[in-house]
This record gives sequence, structure tokens and C-alpha cells, in this order.
Amino acid sequence: MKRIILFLAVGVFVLSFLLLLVPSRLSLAENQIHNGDWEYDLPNGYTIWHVNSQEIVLGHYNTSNSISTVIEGTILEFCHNDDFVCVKTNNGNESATSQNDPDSVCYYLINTIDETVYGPYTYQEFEDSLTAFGVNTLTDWIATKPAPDGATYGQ
Amino acid sequence: MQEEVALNIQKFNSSGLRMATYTGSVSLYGRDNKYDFDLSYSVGKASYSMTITTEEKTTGFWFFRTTKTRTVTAVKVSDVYDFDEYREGFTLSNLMNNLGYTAQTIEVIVPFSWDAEYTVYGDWTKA
Repeated sequence: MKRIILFLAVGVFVLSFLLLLVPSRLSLAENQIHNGDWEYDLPNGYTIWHVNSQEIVLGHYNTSNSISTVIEGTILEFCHNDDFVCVKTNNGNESATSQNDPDSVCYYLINTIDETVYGPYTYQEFEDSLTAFGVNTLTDWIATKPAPDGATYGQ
Repeated sequence: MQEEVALNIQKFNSSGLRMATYTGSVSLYGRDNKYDFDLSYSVGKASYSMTITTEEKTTGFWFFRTTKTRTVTAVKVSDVYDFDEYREGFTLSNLMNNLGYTAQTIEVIVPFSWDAEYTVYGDWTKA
């Protein structure tokens, strides 16, 4: 009797293990794995990549798997329209946020058509350049932490 | 990374420069590493910098003097291994991430930076 109980217990354990393992392997096979690094695609081949917590960069696709860095460091927020991308970076100051002090962050304006980068700007300079270049109908600022809606993981 | 090295050497060759550095990021779960779960799950995306130089050597003398060149590409790949975000949703990835996030929050594990460096030598060609 004890042997039968032991056999059943081992059987249930093995079955549970398989039930856990098989779906997880299936999901891995379907490219469901990701380790937290995400990408958010922008117009004209530009993209925001979360490489790690300290490097959230703007880049331009070289291949589907790699980018050339356009703005490095930590991008806190970004916004865009079809032609321009705007980013705020922490300027190497880890505690900087645009909420606590707009001047503690750097602003960049990128023309994605001719691939020109303008900046770094202060907040006022950035506002002036938007007017000078006639940039309007931008999206709202999109924060990079947490990962924005529309970001994709490990495709 | 092979594709990125080849691409940057191509850029370098068409630039006419004798030395150039290219920076970017690479995603290690693309086509090349589709089935390399360890690399994709542990690293994901990483930064790289490639410094490409032209090396020259001359052999022979007088009329028999020949100059050959090759590219030398010093590659550095780096990343920070950490968990900076709690993720909602009941998936295997999220569970693993959140386990790491919790462990990091209570300082059982600490983020660490790593890098790997290697050099790629091109073939000698006549200048």
C-alpha cells in the first residue's frame, strides 16, 4: 500500500513538473521571453531603446537588431510628430526630473527627415527652437519609466 | 554582432578616415540569436563601441615593394545587469523579472556593470 502511495506521489510530482515545464518551453519558443529591455519605434527609422536602467537612448536602426546611438544617456521623456522627435535627458544627473526642476534636464530636438540634432537646450531654448522651426502637433510627453504603452519587448 | 561589425567597417571604408569610433546598441534576441535563450534572457540589449583603425604593412624593396592594409576593429560590448521595473501580468517573464526586482529592492542582489572586449582583424589587401 505504501509503495502505491509513493508511486502515485512521485507520479503527481513528475506530472506537475511537466505541466509547468512544457508551457514555459512553449512560450519561450514563441519568443515570449524578454528581460525588461524594450523598444519604442518612432517615425523614419528612429527608436527609443531601453538598454538598461541607466541607458535609455534614442537611436536610428542600422539593422533590425541594432541601432546607431543618436542621443545617449538616460532619456526621461520624449514626444514626436511625423518629422520631429523631442527628448529630455537627465544630463548625467540621476536624480534629475523635469517635474522637480525643468532646468535640471537637457532638451534635444531631432529632425528625422534630414537627421539633424539640435541641442542640448535649456527649457527656454527648447521652447524657442520649437517656435523657430515651426514644430507643432507633437504628442504629449511620454515617460520612459515605467515602460510606455506601445513599447515592445525582445522581438 | 558580426553584422554590426561588418556594417561599421563598410561605413569606415567609405569614410576615408584612418580611425573612427562608432557607438550603438545591439539587441541579442534577433534573428542571429533566436534560439540562444541564455543570451537573450540574461542580456537582451547591450551597448557597443567599435574603434576601427587601418593597419599598414610594407614588404619587399625597390620595385618589389608592396603595401598592404587591413582594418582592425576593437569592439567593446557593455551593459548593466539590473531589474528596474516591476511588471504587471502573470507571465513567466514577468514572474522572473519581478523576482529579480524584489531581490534588488531588498538588496539581496545589486546591479552590476559588465563589459566584454575583443578585436576583429580584417584580411590584408593591397593598398
